[in-house]
Amino acid sequence: MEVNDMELKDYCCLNRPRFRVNPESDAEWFFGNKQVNEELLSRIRKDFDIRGVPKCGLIGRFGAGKTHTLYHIKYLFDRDPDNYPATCFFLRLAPYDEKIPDLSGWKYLHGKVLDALGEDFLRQIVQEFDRLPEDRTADLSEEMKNTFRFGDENLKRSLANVLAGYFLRETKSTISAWQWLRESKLEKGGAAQDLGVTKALENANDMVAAVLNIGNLVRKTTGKGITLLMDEAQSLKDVEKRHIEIHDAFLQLADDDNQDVGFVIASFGEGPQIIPNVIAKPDDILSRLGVTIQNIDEAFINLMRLIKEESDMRSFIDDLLQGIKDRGKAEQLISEKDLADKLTWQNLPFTDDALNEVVDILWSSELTRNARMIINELARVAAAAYHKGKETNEYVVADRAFVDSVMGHH
Amino acid sequence: MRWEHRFITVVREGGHTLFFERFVQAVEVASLVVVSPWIQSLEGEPLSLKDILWSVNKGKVPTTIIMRSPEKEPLNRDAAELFVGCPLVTLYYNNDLHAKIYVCRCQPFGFALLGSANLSGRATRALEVGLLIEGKGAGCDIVEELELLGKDDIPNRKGTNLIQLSRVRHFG
Repeated sequence: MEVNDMELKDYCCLNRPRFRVNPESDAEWFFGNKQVNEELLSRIRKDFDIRGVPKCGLIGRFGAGKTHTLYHIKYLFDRDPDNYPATCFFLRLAPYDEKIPDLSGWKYLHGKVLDALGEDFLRQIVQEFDRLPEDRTADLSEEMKNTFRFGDENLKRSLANVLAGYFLRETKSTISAWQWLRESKLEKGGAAQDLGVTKALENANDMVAAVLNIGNLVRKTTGKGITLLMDEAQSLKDVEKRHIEIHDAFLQLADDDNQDVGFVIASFGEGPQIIPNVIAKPDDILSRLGVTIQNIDEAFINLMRLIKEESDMRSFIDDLLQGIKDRGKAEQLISEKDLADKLTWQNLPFTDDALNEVVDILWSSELTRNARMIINELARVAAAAYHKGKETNEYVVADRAFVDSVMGHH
Repeated sequence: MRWEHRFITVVREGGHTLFFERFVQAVEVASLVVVSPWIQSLEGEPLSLKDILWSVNKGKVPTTIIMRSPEKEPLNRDAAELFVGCPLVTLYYNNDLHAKIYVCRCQPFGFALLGSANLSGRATRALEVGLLIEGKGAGCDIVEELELLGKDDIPNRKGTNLIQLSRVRHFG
């Protein structure tokens, strides 16, 4: 193929349309320092043993790979349920703004948790619960109520009626059920009567109790727990007026009594002070996670250390380039363009010393020692080589001098 | 309707003026993407191209512009000169371009305009229509996708030529 006719994905022999890593579809990859990965998985495995479900967090700077790591956890849990017996649900806690009532308080975060669980999952759990041998001849709602362990009797009864009445068969709309679950106002008329509820979810305690009870149901049905993968927790730094309510909600989730609904909280920043106060202060939540502010990094794994040495950055780049490459196409291109003395299929379109130069430049600033910046800069240099190649219809190799010219190193 | 469900608005008039009025007031802008076949200097309009580039420079906003070449479309000549004079702008030409996409990534969430209006004075008066998308709820992924269209997809197509690579390294 003539260089003129190529798109960037042809020029770089990508196995995807863009020179990008997608946190969700590339979740099987874990880049960077393997020790950090091992620490994270070790914490998660211990949590399964001690707390029934993971209860921990991730911290890292902009672009360090927090979202990617959360999806990687989800991938591992899906792939290896024997070692990681929990179903993951991803949700973003941002934006949080106490100036806007719709965007603050636990009710808002509770809505996100319910959206993450979703109708399909609730239906599946209720239907599977109904198929359990011991439930076949029993009143489904009564059996559910007996499974629930959190909240008062009225809450258990109401939740059981809503789930059994609306999620077992797909014969009627679940809008009213969702309104009750979200603690939204029920439509006028006999909505509460139709739902069979005797109380609303009146406060954050009730909302958390409802979710924990759903967790009880999931455990009984599938033998697994639930893990909420909560991204962008730094937005909770702005919690002020609703501190007590949200702190108490997290405390309920963290409590030893809850062994079915776990969480992995990812927060932007560096160091212990980055954990939002609503979680860190008072330290009763941390103590339930088995840490204090002094050894907080045992529960909140710091992703800054994913790339803690230049060699980590180079190995990140090597893994990345290999992962996004179509080997067959790359080998064919190297042969067609007679580039074997300059390039390998893994590194194309970069020479080996160009990649060392990239590492040298990016390592010189803390701001560029993160996954996102590395990917952005490699993509930028590759695109520059591609466009230069198109000008002359020649394959331009991104060598050390080319990297310097694009990245501004002298 | 919940807050994050209100992420899209049909824009019947004002087009890109509405978008750029928001852009100049936005905070912590991480990037600006403008994809428009025809771009003029907008002299005499409420916001001229110089005003927009002043905001780009002031906020050090990494900016990607894709337009048709001024050799093919002489109307683009003044705008092209202004873009080449701005070190924050990465400029591409694509003469097959017909899409009109405007994306601003900022705090607390970005926004995008997808519509029929070119970035020209005529578009402020002609009958145009567009969708203003807020990067919240389901709009978050749409704004991100539109940004990637402007920063990754169209630039790396066969018919697109790089004219100027931003001379400033981006940390965002």
